[in-house]
Amino acid sequence: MGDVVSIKDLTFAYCNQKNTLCEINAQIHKGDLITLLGPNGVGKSTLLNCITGLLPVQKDTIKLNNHDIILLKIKHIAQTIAYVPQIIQNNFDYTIWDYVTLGRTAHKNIFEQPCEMDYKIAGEALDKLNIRHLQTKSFNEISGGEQQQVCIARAIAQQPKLILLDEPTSALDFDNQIKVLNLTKKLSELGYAVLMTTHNPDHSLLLNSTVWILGRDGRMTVGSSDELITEKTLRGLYASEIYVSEILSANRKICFVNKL
Amino acid sequence: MIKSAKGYAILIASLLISLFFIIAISLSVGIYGVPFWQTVKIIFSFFGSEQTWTNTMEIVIMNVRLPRVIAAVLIGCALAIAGASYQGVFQNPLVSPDVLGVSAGATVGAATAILFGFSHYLNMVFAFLGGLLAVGLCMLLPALTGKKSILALVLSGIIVGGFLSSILGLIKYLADPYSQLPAIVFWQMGSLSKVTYSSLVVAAPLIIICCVFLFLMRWRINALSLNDREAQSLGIHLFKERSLVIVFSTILTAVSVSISGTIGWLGLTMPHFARLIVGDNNVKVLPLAGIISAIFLIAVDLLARNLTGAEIPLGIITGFLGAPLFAFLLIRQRKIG
Repeated sequence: MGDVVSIKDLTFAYCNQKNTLCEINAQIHKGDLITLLGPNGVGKSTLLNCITGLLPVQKDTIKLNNHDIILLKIKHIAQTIAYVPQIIQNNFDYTIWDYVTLGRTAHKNIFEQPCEMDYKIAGEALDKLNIRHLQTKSFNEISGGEQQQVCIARAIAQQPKLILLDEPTSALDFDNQIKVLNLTKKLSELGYAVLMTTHNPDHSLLLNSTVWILGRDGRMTVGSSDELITEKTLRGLYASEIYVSEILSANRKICFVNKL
Repeated sequence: MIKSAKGYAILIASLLISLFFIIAISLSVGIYGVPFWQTVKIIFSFFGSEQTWTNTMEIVIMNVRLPRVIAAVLIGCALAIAGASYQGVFQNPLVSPDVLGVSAGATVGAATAILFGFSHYLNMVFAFLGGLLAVGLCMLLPALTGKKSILALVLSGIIVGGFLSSILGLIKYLADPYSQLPAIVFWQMGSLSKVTYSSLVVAAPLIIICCVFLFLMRWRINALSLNDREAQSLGIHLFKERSLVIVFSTILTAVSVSISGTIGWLGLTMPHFARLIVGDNNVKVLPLAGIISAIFLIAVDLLARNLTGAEIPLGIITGFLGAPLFAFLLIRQRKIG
């Protein structure tokens, strides 16, 4: 039972509404790379919020390192799970150094300041992503792609077992999307479990990841990208005519639509 | 902008030296002038030095001016640190004890206590309750409308502030025009002239304790100043930690109001001034804003005492200086919105 996260029969509904999530079962192990797909509004964020303990779930449905999540403090959850948000501008502008150091919050008590060790860990996180040169810049002045990398560096500084990325590619140009995808692959190779939500099924194929597909009925299918990224499932999930074909020149399967 | 740790240390050290000098100047200057070096000697007289000054000098400095200057340091610090902390936990650079209606709430509380003839201590308690009520209402409105933006909070501050000023108007209308009304009006405009050691005995420890706690939490406030989702994912217990910061900041504001009345603008402008110098990191902003604000308030009080024969209320001078200063800072920063 070396699961970082195990989800068993998770059903969740916002008050007075029908079930958003219905009998979900899944596990996340060390080094897993998972893409979470699903149409807009099916509850991908709800699922992420359940896993991070922000929504009240039933007893024994979600376990973190074998501990029931409802018994864990937010601080302890944050020591296991780091969250990389969609990029938004903050009202305050911190330097990259200060921003990444904030990843240490979960390891400090309320009246503590970061110590030498914390700064060392923050520095190492920057080094891992080769963005040490950004450290004195301020968060709001760097590019979107760099902001995404800085957020990932902060997640690394948090020293978690699982890193959640909420649509990390959505605000990025094509080149930066590829960079971030490469980065998620690298993170899983470094031993972190990685779970990212995405709107592009091709990302699952590119990463050759485990795939979680959340359907409109609130049920989730789990499988490999080979099994699940097929014309049949994608057409069931989205309304468009989607094709999945092996492209010889790219030496991989690719997911596309016909000429508009 | 000063980015290095060394530069920051030098800045703080030189400001502390300036603070000492302005304290000494403020103690020397007044209707009864005392030579500067005599003042310095009197301050350090408890180390045991030969008396080279008259007894009158000592009484003027130690009993009349010193409590006032101590109050200026404490209140200056308190309002700036409260302002910076509010700005952090509300994730909003445009809030302050004034904007959130905390000062107005505390003033209403203090005025109520005056109206009912309560003691000085109850006055403080009422000021705190009034301040807490105001900040609570301020938080409630955006929550009820479901809008969470910088403007929503500022607008609800205006609403709460407007309502409180009506209550204050009512209290003034009901107050005895010969004894209570002047006291309330005095409170509203802010002054350090009625500060005595006996009012400092309670106020000083409260201000120091709250400042120390906020000082210790200043790195935490950085995490709280990100959006809620982000702060929680970093391991912050939002409700607990935010409430703690709000309570400490509100005590600071209320205690200040209860001994000096409403001194506006410090809580908004001083943290911004500090941010302009060292950036937004609250680890550096909180101490810096506190020291700058203490220096600024002593200077303002010095002007208030000496500009004319009669004393000018502090709130008037901080308004004259603070409003243009804030306009200047807004133009410099441009990024607020």
